[in-house]
Amino acid sequence: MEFLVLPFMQRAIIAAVIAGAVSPAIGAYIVQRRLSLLGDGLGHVAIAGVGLALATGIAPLPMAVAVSVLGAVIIELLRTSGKASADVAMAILFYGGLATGVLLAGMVGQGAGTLSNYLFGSLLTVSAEDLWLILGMSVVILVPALGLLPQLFAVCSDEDYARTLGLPVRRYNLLIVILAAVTITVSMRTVGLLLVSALMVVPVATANNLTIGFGPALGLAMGIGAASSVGGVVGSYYLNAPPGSLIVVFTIAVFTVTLPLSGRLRRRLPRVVDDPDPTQLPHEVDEHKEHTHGADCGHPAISHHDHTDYIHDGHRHAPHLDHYDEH
Amino acid sequence: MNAIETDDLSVTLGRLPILRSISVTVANGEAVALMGTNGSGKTTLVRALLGLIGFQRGSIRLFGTELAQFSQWSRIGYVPQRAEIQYPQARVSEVVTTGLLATRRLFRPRTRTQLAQISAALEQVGMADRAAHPYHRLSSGQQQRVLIARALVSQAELLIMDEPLAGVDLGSQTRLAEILAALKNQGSAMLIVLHETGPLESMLDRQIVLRDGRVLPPYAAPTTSHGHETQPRPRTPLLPGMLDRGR
Repeated sequence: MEFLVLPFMQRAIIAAVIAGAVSPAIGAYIVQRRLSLLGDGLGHVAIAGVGLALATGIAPLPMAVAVSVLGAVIIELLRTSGKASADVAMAILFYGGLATGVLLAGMVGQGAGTLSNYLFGSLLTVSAEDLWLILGMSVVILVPALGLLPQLFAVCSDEDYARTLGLPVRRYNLLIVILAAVTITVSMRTVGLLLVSALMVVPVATANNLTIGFGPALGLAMGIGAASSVGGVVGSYYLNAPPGSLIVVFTIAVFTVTLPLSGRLRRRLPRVVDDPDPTQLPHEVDEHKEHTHGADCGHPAISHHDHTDYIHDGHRHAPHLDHYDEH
Repeated sequence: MNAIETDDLSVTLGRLPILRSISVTVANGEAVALMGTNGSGKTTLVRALLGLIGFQRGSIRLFGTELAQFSQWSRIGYVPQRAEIQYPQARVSEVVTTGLLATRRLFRPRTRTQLAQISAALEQVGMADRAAHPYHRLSSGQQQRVLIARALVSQAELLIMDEPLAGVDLGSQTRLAEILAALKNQGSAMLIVLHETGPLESMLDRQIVLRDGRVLPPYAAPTTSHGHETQPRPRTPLLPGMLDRGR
């Protein structure tokens, strides 16, 4: 435990706890909207911000926030445009961001080594100033992510219905992607821009397997994310490896180990009692014994599933035992 | 004042005219069935009334206010034809809670009153014992009842329901008919999309029948009694095209 007295490790662990808790808090909404790979794309865009910061000498974190938020807004506008070309435009944005970041970093002599600190995380790069900025941004993320949980859940779970409630659906959707963009930059020091998406998605998937209900799952995912991140940072200290890779390995390990528990949980749920067979329920009967329906009875016949109904006096008769049911 | 009033409403999707010059009203406290064959425009009319799709001509007024200016959405409860709740593990209570969001204040937890409303709505549809159950594990009929509870929870003055009985077993249909009749007696207006009036027959004030995007003249239901009935018989308007489909 000697690492606890090292200032850079103290900062790295605090940053890991924050990133690990915040990432799944937004990831829960991203997963719910079936946009699990959005974080990956935004991570690529943020690399352009890092490259721009390295090229201009500005602090990387604020520049990455600005560029990734701009990218998030563009992505959401493209996505909601509904055009087929939006898919291609997003791919261009993602890979353009990655290429621009690598190019700008290379042009100022900051090679792959420097950039990899941001792509896969680095224990040494979390400065005290960064830590305060990360702390501030995490508050900015968590207040709406948790405070607006019912509204964001409604928008993500049933968008049409949310509109009928008068909720500003477009604004909430935009808020989610902007918060995702900020989350990615919060996490870039610990887990790295290329792996942050895993921290947004995998703890959420694990929690979904272990709990019922969106609120409980979100809380559990934050806990799993924070624990995995701390484990990854501490492990990387001993293994001298980038923390991002180990954090992701930890989250996947937790997912895999807890997978059998998911089956147990399902079995403990009360069994769904299917709605009873309608034919066994009280149903409307017309004995109508003075007439037998048939091919030549004069009543229009309608094929209805596995039997034939006959139109009689404005309603439909279906033969059943010694009487006719009203269909 | 009418809860719903449309005047010369026309909706075109792509280049296809779906609704043509629809002028209908639903008065406060009135229960109206919206009927017609598949593709006649029932769901499109409902979606237009709720502002989910735009319209090219005419007007829609909800409680006397033009749709574009209408903001009192808590006065309306909507039951969609089929709801895909995107989060499979959502609890039944979480789904029903969303029905309160039209009035719920931001950054505020649920109040005791709201929790009581949620319990009452679930009780009304016979799903109180499933509040903590995952929504996706319910049968389709039970899911439909949860969606009805979601519409009821805000104590809306107007319920708009798109085939609320579809996939619901006969016993539950009868129970829902009782619930809706009670709500109507309390003054709620209703527009209910139906293929067949079924157990709702007795609570309905009238029917609006659509065909090819137009309103048909009122249907005169047959009144001759039929000797062996054990309970009131649903009078379903037999429209051309209905003969070709199943129930």
